[in-house]
Amino acid sequence: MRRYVVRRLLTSVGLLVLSSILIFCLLRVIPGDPTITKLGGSIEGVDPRALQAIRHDLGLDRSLPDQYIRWVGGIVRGDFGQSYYSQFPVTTLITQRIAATIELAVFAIVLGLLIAVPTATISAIWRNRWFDAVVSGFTAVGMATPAFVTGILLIVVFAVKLGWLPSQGYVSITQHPFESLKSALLPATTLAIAIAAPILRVLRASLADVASAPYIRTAAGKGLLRRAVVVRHVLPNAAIPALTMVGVIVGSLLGGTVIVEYVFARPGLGTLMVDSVFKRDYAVLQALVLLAAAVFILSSLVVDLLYGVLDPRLRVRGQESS
Amino acid sequence: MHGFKGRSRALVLASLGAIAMALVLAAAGPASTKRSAANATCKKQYGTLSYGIAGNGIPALDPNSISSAAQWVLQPLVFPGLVELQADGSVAPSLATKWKHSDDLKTWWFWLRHDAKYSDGRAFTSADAVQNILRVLDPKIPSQARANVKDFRSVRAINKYEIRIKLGSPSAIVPDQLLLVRMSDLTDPTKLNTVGNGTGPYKVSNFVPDQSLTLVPNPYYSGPTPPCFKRVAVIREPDPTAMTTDFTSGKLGVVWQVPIANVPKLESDGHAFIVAPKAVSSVQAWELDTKSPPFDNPLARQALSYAVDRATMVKVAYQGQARPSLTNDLLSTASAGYDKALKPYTFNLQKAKQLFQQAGVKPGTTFTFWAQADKNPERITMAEILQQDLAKIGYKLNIVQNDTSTWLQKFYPAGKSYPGLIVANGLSLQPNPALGLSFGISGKCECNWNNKQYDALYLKALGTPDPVKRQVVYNQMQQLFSQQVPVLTIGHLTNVMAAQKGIVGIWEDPRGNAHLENAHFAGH
Repeated sequence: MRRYVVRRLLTSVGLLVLSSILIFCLLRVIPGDPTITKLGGSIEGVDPRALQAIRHDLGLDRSLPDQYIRWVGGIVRGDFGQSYYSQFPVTTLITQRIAATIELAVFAIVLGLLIAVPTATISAIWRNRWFDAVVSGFTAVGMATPAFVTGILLIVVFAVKLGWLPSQGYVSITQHPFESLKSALLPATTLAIAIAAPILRVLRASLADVASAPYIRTAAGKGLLRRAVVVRHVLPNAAIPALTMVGVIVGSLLGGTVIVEYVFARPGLGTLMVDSVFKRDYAVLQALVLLAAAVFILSSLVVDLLYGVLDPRLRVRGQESS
Repeated sequence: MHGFKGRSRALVLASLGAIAMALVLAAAGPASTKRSAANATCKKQYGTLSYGIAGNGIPALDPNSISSAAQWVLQPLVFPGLVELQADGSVAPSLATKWKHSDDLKTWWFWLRHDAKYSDGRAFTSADAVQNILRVLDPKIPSQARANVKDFRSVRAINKYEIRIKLGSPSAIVPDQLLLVRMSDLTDPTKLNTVGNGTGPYKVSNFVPDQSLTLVPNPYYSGPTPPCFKRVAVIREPDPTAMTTDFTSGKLGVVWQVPIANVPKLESDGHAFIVAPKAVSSVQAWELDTKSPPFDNPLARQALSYAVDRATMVKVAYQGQARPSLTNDLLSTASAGYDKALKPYTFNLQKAKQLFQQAGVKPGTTFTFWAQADKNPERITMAEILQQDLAKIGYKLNIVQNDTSTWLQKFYPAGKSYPGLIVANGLSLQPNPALGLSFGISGKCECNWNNKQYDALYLKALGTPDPVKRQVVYNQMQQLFSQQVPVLTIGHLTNVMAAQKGIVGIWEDPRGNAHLENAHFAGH
């Protein structure tokens, strides 16, 4: 098991290095120049020496390998660089906004799981009944509808028509916990629907698979209630494929918050990422995309390690192969 | 009795002293002594003013190297200059109280306020003024102010409150040229963008780049416009529609750059009013590369000018919020320097076709309209009108929209080649006619129009102290620009700004920037 963990850790580090190279190169091939974008909005008759000076200050006049090595060297020292525009350290910009994103992400995952797991379980208990059909419809609609459409619909109904919840903004949970949850409810619900639908689909399919297994038939044959069979025997065994899906979703959540934060004007990392794309603020953008990649790799690692804990067969196989 | 006599004598002496001081000030030079247009009349500091901006927030604080139009609002609030812009487009004393010039207009002296202090309590002196002007003159510092002052040859502090500026060639408008040079604290230049220490009525309390900015009263401020709000919150809204919605719901007190489509709604709102500027110096301009075919030929540029139906475009796209620039002029018809004798480019497609053919631009030629995708939808409306009109005479227009960064990279800065492109741009020109017309001088315009005659006329205008004679030069510049069409000017317009009715003292300058320094809640 230890050898497996070490191997997975090393693979994760390798993936992170590859991601950093990919991120760095991709940003340099998109059209647009940060120095021009910085000045072009307001400064006429700019002196070419000024452009050169900015490029020099930002290190953009160096070769790409040199720029990459300096960037990675900075990260190793905990220095992600400065924004090309505000000149705030990137870590400060991330710190200013990360709370809004974490609150939204955690709230959305909890809500998503609260929707998906009980619904899938009930659907497995009442198989082939009207509830099952409703769940099937919800899954299809939830997966097909883009988050921004769901978000706008929720804004129209709950903020504009009913006036129950704010349509946008962010309140810090440490200052006003209730107002904070209120401001997060609509964006979190938007994201939760997008999260719940695929988990529900996978979990439902997995529950159906496990339910036809011989040991489940045996349990039912022993006279156990269907509810008890599903909750005690089917659900734990069906959870493993769903766990993979949860891992993927958690990993990609930072990217998922981009649209939702933008729709709900939430000053989080997603909004920061959108701003950085439009301005070609490479320093901020590189750090954010790398952070998203790191979260994805980390969540995949955690899920892989959890497999070993949850599924005894994997532990046995791991020991046999070692 | 003795005491009364003593007080009387003191009063008489004080009065004489005041009169003598007034005479000295009056004799010092031709400087204007008027203060800001509308001094604040609030009784006490009260409440929070929420000022909404859409799309981009305030990305940084350096007032002399701005990268977003949203930053302009901070100039008079936090970073006053030696002079300030007035509602009519003239400049008035601010940190400088008066000025004079030599007979040859090549040396200028400015006297500074003695009581101005930065928000950290440090006194503002001539050394700070010199440092800020020299920084702007540094070619390595990208500054919006440099183009206006680059002929300054030396800037020196004569004493603690007096500076002297020597020029390479004469200028009668140095105070106007100094308008864009703002006074910030250069003690630590690395903090210019993040801290924002100025001498204005407000100071920066909290700043999250591109998101929010909170200003509070500067406790050391002793100028003519004392702060009236306890807080000014600059709030970035995700888009113009969301900003308008928040304004109509009362969440925002003032909004800037309101979408044109929302103006009728705001005008019918009994709780709000549109803040209209007294004069307008911004212009909707389509830039052409005058160094590459087909627009290297003035006839082709004139042809396009005749094909542009300015009146219809402005009417449809700006819904009455702009004036068509029928004579293809950088100056608006309301400008003091406007040449009323200019001939208009009356919309005439047959003449356009004839001129295109004379220029060798064959029917079937496709032009490209190069615009931003993420803002200014009015430009696309105008492009679609042009597209239909050009089609009637056998020419094609391809409308291409890109994000701002990609859009800019094609034509900015001046010197780039972009054959066949019609670049939709907006110019926020200074209201002084000479500085407004200076957009056409060599090296400044992205149109790459380097015309020696125009450059010479500009220098002549600067060096002409007599306003009547200067107007003659302005007329020559406008005639040359109108005839050569290096840029197509479509209409003169402003940024639409709206405020809640309980807010008074707010105004918009001719460049379309919001002025909140005199604003306060009515009754407070």
